[in-house]
Amino acid sequence: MAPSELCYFTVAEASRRIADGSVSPVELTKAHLERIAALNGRVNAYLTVMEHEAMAAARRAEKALRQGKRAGPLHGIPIGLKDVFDVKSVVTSSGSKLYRDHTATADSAAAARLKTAGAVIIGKHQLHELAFGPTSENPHTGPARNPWDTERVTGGSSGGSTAAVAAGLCMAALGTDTGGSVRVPPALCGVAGLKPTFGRISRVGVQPVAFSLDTVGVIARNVKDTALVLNALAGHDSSDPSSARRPSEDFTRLLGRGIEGMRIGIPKEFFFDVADREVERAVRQAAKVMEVLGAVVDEVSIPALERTLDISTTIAVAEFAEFARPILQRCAAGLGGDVREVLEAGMGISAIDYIRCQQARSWYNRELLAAMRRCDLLLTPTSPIPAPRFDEVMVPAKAGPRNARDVLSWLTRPFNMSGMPAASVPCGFTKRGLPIGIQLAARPFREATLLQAAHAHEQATDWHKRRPPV
Amino acid sequence: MKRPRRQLGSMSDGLRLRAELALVVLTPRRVEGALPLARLLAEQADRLDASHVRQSEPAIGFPPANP
Repeated sequence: MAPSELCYFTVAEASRRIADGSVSPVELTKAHLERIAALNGRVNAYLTVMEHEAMAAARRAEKALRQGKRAGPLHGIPIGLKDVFDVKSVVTSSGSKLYRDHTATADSAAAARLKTAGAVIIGKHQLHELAFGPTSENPHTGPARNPWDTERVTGGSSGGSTAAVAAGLCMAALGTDTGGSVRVPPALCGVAGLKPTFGRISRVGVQPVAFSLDTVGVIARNVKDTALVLNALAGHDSSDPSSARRPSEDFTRLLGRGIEGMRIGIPKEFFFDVADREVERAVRQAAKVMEVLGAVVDEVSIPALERTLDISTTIAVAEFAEFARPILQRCAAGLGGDVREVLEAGMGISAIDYIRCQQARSWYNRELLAAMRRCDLLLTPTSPIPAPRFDEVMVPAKAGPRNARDVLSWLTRPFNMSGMPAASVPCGFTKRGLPIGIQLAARPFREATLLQAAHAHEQATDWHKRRPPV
Repeated sequence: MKRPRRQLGSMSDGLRLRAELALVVLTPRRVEGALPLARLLAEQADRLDASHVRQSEPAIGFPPANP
C-alpha cells in the first residue's frame, strides 16, 4: 500500500486495520514522518517533529498489541498538537520566539489522555503567535500555508494543525479555540473541526489566551474521527477549575441515526451580513440537504447577535492582555506587530468596560439560549469568506469590501461567548476550488446531537472526501 | 480574533481621551495601530446600554454552561 494512502486513512479505518493487524502503528507512524519530511516545507504545518518520541511510542503501541493490550480506537494513531499543549520534555513555543526555549516539565492533561488512549503524538504545530490571530501568519516562523492553495492563509490560530490534517501529515490534531480557532481553519482547509462545550476538556498544561473563552478542540478529516478523539479527551479534571463536572460519554453513539424531525434554525441576523456570495449559496444549499434528510429548517430571529462584536472583542482582548502583560512589559520588541498592537490596546481597556461587556454577555447568552429552546441546532457559515491570499487585505463581501483579517472570526465568536458546542464541516468549494464550511451549534453539552447532524450532512455529500493538491 | 480598525467617526471626546490617556500612561512606546484599536474598543463597549446591561447582573466571566 502506498504511504500516501496510509496517511489518508480516517482514524476509524486505521484503527480497524491496526486492530486486525493489517496495518501496524510503526508502519503508520513511519509513513506520516516520511510525508512530513516531504511536504512540511510546502505547508509549514509543523514547528517540532517528534520523530524519536513518536517512533518509540509506536513501537510501544505495537508491543502492547502483541500482548493483547489495545487501549482503544486511538491505539497507534498519529496525532499532532498545536504548539500550546505541553508535552513533557518537548518545547512549547506558543508560536513566539519568547518561548522558543520553554521546555515542558509535564504533559498537558489532553496530551496525557491521548497517551493513555494509545495515541502516538507525532509533533507540535504552527500557529498564530500566542494563539491570538485569525490567519496563522507568524512573523517568527513563517505562515502556515493552505494545502488547497499555498499562497493562501489557513485561518487561525490553529492553522498548522489544520493544514497538517488536510495534507495527510497526521490523522487528527488538537487545537484551541478562543474565537473560532478550531472552526475557521477547518472551514478554510476543507476538514472537520469541533469546539466542544466550554469546560468539556481540561485546559491544564495549555497556554491560555482568554480564560473565559478558551476551549480545547479537535480537528480531523471527518466527523466520526472528531468524536473518537473527543471520547478520549472529555471528562472532569479536578485540577482545572473551569472543568465541567460531567461524566464522559460515547460521542459516537448517535452517528448514523439520521436527523428526521430535528429542528434546525438559521439566524436571520448577523451571520449573512458580510458573507461572500459563494459562501452564502453553499450554506443555503447545505440547509436544503438537511431538509431533504428530514430536518425541519427554519429562520430564527436572535436580535442580540447584532451585539456580538461589541461584546466579544473587549472581553477577548482584555483577558489576553491580562495574561500577556508581563510579556509586553518585559520584551515587547520580541512580539510580532499585530499581536503587540492588540496587547497594547488591551492595556487601555478600563475595568468599567470589561465589566460592562461581561454583564452584557450574560444578557446575550440568555437570548441565545432562549432561541435554542425553539430549535435543536443553529446552522450558519463558519467563515464569511473563503481563504484569502497572503497579500490580500480587502476582500469583496455582500456589504462592500472588508478587511479579510477582521472578518474571518466574526461568525464563530457567538459560541465562545455562550460556551455552546459548535462544529465546522465542509459544505462545498468556490469556483476557484477553495473549501467552504458550515457551522452547526447546539445547546451546552449536546455534542452528541451536534455530531449526529454534522455526520448526517457529511454522509449525504462528498466534500470531505476531496484531497488538496499539495 | 478580529482586529477592528479605524471607525472613529462617532467617537465622543470623552472616550477618545480615556483610551488615549490609558495608553499614554501604560504603554508610552506603543506601536502605531494600538491607539485606534483602543479607541474602537472603548466605543464598542459604550454602544452597550441599559437594554443590554442590567445593573444587578453578576459579571460571571464564564459561560452559563460552566458548573
